[in-house]
Amino acid sequence: MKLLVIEDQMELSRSICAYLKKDNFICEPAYNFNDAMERIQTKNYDCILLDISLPMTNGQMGNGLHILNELKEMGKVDGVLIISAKNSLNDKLEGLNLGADDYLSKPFHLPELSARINAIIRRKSFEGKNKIMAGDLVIHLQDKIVKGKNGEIDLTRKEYELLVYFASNINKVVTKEAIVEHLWGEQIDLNDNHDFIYTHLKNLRKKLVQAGCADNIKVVYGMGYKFTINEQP
Amino acid sequence: MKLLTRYSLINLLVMVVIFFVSSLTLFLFIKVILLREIDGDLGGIETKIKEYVTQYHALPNLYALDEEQINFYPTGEQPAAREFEMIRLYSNREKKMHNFRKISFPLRFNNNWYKVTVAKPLEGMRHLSHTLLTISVFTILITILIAIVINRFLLKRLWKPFYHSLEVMRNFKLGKTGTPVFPKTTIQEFAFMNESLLMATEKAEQDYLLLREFTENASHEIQTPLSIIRSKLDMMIQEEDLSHKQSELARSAYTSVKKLTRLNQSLLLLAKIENHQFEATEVINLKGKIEEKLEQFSELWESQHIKVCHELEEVTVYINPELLDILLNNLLSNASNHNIPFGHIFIKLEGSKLVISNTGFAGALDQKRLFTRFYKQSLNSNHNGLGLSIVKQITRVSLININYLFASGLHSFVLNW
Repeated sequence: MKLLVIEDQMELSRSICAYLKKDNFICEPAYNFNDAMERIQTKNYDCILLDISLPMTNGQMGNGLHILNELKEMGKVDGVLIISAKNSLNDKLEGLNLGADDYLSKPFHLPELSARINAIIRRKSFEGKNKIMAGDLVIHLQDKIVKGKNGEIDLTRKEYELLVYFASNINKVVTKEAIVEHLWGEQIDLNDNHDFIYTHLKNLRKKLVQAGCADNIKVVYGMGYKFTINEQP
Repeated sequence: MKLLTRYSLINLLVMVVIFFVSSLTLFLFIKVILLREIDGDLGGIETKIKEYVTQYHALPNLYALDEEQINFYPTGEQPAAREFEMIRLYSNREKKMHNFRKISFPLRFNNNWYKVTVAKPLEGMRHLSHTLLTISVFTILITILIAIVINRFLLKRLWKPFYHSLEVMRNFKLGKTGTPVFPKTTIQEFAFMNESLLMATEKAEQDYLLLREFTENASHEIQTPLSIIRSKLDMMIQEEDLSHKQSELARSAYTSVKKLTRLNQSLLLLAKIENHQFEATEVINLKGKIEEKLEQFSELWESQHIKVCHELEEVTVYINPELLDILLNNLLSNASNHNIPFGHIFIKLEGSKLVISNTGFAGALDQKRLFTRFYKQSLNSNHNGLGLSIVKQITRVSLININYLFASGLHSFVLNW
């Protein structure tokens, strides 16, 4: 999978690339407008991360929306994920209207970013990819069905979403906080009480084990959880 | 009281006083002059009588038809010296008592002393005062009438630019209406006033825009480093050999980043609401919306063992959907966060009223400071104290009335629209 990360903040760009690298993603960073333009004109990417508030360069109208426009004209707008420091509905609507696939406002959790990118790529390459294979598990995204060794596993909506989220962050430590934000949204101010996700996790793990799968969800002390799958030889 | 009314009143009062004083003065002066005239006449008669007596050695004859009433009183000794006085006498001509001016002077005749009195009626004086009074009253009435007419038309016209400017200022809203346009006027004071008002409003508008820009920019600028910190933390915890101590450190760093993020987002949201960036409203089924929220919060409440009772009627509201979402989130989060384990939340929606009540540890909250920014029950609270001020701002721009009540252990927020 080839990924273009258009982000002027070098440090953030590096983190994103480092996090995604392990997932068979090849990340190409573009730190400025010209660099980004050059790359989108010469290459094709599976997904493009675009910081909409890219600063102007050399007095050019060099912001993210301009790049998005350019992508639209080239017919490459499919697979664009906008990241923005402005959490504004107008920006979001404008970006989505121009054909972007999704919108994520800063500051985001890297697991969340990974989940969004995976979702975009799955959507884009629909055929054959509408299911995720994760160890013993097969997640059928279209029907929202999970199958284990012993057949279908009956999951609640939250448990299903949780599993898909983990599947997008295989072998990564994911904080409880990031899980809560993913499942319940940012708006709910939860008093730093993340205990209630424990019930969901416990149930999910139990169901997976009952279905004959390995207990792949590990607790990482004081941090969160990790969905581990040993690389198949 | 209106300026013009007040002005007219003072004007009238002063005019009435001036007219009375001037009439009185005029009356007194004329009276003095007339008296002097009459006294002169009486003096003339005195001279004539004395001349007559010297010439003819007899008292002059008196004619009943004379206007003056002349009397001679023989006195043994020399009478008092010449004097004038006012008396009331019976007037032959008018057949009634009347004011007279009388002169009495001594006269020596045939070795006898006489006291001579000559009295002249003061009818003219009375007529004069009547006339003066009538003229005064008429003049006052006419003046008042003219003053009213002048105030009505002339003053109103003269002050028109002032009232116009007042209207313009009244309609002026910071950050919403742009620079006010004042009517042109040739009157120097008004022109000066308009100029000053324009300068003040332009400055305020400019400062407001700068502040608005600053708040937004500052918040946006903070987002980027925050996302870098968070991404670095996300990367750090991926390390295989993280010790417990390091995990703890990362944990608290995460918590602080989250707090800072929330604080920043709240401030940005407040700025946006104040900048009227949520203008678009639509009709929303409030019952449906609340049910959606109940669904979202249900697991949280379950884990906190909070029991929720709700009574919802079909109600539609006209509001910005984003703001409604935030409003309900904040109120419900508030009701959960400040609740007690095994506590209750009551939600009642009827007519144009929504009541959200919850049990809680604390007693009644400070009504006055409740909705102010950074108000916290305790200093070590985990909340940034902006939730309720956001609620307040949202209700303000959405024309909803919000009140806090505390009764029988229940904290209630009552929304009326």
